Amino acid sequence: MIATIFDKAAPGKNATSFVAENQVKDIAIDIPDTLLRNGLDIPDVPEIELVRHYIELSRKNYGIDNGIYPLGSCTMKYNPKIDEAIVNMPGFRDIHPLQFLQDEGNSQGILQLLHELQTMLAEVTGMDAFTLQPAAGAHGEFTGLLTIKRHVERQGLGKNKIIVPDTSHGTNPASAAAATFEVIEIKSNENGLVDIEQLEQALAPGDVAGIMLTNPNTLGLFEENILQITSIVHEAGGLCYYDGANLNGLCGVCRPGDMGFDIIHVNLHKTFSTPHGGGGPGAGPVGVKQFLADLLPGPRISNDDGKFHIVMPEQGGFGSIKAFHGNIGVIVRAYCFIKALGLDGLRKSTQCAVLNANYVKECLKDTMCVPYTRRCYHEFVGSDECMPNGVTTEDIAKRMLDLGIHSPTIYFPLIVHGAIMIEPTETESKARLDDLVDIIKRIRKEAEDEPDIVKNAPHTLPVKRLDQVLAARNPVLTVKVLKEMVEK
Amino acid sequence: MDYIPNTDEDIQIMLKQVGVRDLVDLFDTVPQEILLDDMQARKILKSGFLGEHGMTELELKSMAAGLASRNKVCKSIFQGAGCYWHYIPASVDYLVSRGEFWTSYTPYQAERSQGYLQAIFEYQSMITELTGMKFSNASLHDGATSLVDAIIMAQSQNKKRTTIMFAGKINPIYMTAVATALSPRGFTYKHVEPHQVIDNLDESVLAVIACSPDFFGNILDVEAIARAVKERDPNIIVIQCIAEALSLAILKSPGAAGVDIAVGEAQSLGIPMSFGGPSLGFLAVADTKLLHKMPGRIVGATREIAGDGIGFTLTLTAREQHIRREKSLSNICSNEALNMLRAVIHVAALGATGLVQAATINVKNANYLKHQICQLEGFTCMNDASTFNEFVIKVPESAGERIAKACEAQDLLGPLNLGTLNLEWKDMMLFCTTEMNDVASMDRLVNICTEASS
Repeated sequence: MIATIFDKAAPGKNATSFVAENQVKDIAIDIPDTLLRNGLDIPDVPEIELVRHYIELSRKNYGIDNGIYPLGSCTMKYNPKIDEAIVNMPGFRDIHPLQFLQDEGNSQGILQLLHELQTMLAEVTGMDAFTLQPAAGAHGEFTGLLTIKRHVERQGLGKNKIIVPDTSHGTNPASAAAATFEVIEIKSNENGLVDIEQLEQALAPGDVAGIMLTNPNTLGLFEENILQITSIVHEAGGLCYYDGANLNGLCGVCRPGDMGFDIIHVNLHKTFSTPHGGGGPGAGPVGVKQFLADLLPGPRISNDDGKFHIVMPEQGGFGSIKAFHGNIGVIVRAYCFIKALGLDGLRKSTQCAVLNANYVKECLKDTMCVPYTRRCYHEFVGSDECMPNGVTTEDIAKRMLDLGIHSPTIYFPLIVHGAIMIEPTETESKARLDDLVDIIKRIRKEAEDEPDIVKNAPHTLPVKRLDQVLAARNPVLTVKVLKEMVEK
Repeated sequence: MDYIPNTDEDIQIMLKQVGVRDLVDLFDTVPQEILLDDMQARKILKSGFLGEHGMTELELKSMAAGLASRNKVCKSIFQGAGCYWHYIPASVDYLVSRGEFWTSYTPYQAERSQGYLQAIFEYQSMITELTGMKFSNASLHDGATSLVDAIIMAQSQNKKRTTIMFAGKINPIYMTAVATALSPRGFTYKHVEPHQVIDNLDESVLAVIACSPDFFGNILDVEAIARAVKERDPNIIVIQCIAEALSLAILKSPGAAGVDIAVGEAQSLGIPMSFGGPSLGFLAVADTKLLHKMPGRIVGATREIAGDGIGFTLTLTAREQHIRREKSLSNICSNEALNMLRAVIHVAALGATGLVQAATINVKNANYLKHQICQLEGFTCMNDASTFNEFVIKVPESAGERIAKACEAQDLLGPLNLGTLNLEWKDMMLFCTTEMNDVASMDRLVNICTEASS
């Protein structure tokens, strides 16, 4: 039976207490009774039980620290522990975001770090100006699209459409819609690349504000016609937005700015190795070419007179996209990662990330269908189409969990039947990759000989396969409702 | 240095298997004119910040320590304004640093992620208890972006209305984020005193946002506002924006006050200030209709397909961008999961007893300081309601600069000079106290103010 933290209650035995000092002990609470609450049903939990409870939960979880985590488009690379030690230095951890207003001199270290990072990101991506404020990749996309919106307004041509390919991340169309653009989806060609003819047709009416692309794309393929694509879009008066989710496939080897992109976001929690933390926090800095710099929301750091300053966008630009200066804790880690590697390390990391993906693809090409056989970059996509006995991608993924590793990203991109998207990253060794390959080969063999083992997986985890339909049809979202469910 | 485990020999074997001569040849589908060779790559390094060869761990640590040493860690902090100095139990840092949590991804594979999923489920249970609402999501970026999302949710209920009304003082930092993020949507923003809400309602009003505690620290009678608004027009969405999640431990919950959506900043629940981020936005709703418009991850309990066991899984994903793409109401993917985990453990470490104690000391410390400062010649309290842990004082002309200077000299972070954010607030200062400010430091601040007034 599941025991939640609410089941560990021992009233009055809470782990952490606070007692008022003598001088304020007798100060009255002057809040009217009608504005106060009656009771608070949060458990008091003794410290030893608190620790055991969450250690136990951690044991029912899996991270890169446990083993390979080949989630495509997620770039689950190793997170260096020195970066944790640094971000926990009091000079980074215990500083208030507005303390610089008392005296700018009291925050020069962090401002220098932000200034260096925004400059390094610009150099590595080939852009001119960066804001570090957006909190995640999608938040960065939204920030970039607001910039495009302002650009379109400045042009006064009323362009209101954004093109996304059918291989794009779901956040691309969602971000475009959130910025009130209309989304046009174009289909990929038989090679898995942008179909130039379709692109030209979509641009023809003259109402396209821009295109969003990730390169390498989500099939792991480099858009070989990228220079032609960006030039066609520019000729039609549109802007080119680069989704940096897949930057790990080319960082330091070529630059989105040189490909003709005008705006880019970078997922610091992917390419620059900050821990994913179970879904965040991330950071999604946005960079632009000079002609858009005055339209970009968010603070930037200047260094004009030997001192660092926070500069907000000028009149006519936007203000902020969230509170304060960005996800600083994430930004500090990414800064450390980039500084540790240097240019040579960044290039070598990219090369090895691409080598690892190609190696796994090569080893598995006779085990699973790989619909696109061109050179892959940081990731590649397989399919369940040639699996015997009706074994599906979901079955394979669950069986991989059973056999002690995490599964790849599944059922994305949508254009591949039963997509299995594998991104090993550069921080996995050949031995780990060989394990991954062996596990998938074993599952293939099981699918032939004893498919029920695969179809009923997992067998070794805390729970068997869960009923997703029931979860959505009958939402049980809190401990109180769970109790009712159990009693039924 | 790098974090690549393969030896040169491994790399050679793998290159052979792939069928290319060297690492550079892997990039054979990149157009030659944009491919950087070793020499060309060096040319992109103009500033010198990014070195060619990187650093050792020892060099990195000492360089970073140098930067950290040029940020002042104040001995006592009297600034809040959206980011708060609170005690974080040692167990919080200890437990969240487990690699199984820290280095995991979004728990897409439920059966291998039961630990994280259960922690999110517990968070949802705690937030619904604290807010008195029915459903909570699994985190948003911060208080400001939560408010943005709440307004977008309100718009989904009523596409024709365009006025957003704020009762009480909204944090101007939130307001900038709202105005920026929602700029393409053509909203009009009205700011009114709490008692003026009803007189200002008309058919254009989409949502009333009751800020409580508000930017000035005021605790509003949200129940009175919600009741009056709903009596006049039940279609108006009432949102409560909460500056400080800790206040929920003692104040009437948004649910009990009758609001539709509760949002706010939960950085005060176990998350370090870190110069303002990463933080934690919470969002909870009162009914099922709004649940299906909620942004972000949601975890539900369910049963095994072939068994009786109960487990947890991400659910109601038909709301989300990876399923609905452009039809999704929100684009959020990465959220602030690890800070959510900090909040769960922090709340559990304090328990109801510790939360109420902490909140109570926050109020008492603020009242102690407020009382002393208000007695000073030329210092006037600007709050017209009870306050939580922040309050605003109008100080004698240019005393603010003297206070700032003296605080800086004594390694205190003094009250926030509101004139730097809004000229209408010239000579007003926003004070904040928490359980961290001891009486001695509060007395020092009183002395500084006394001297600044003379």
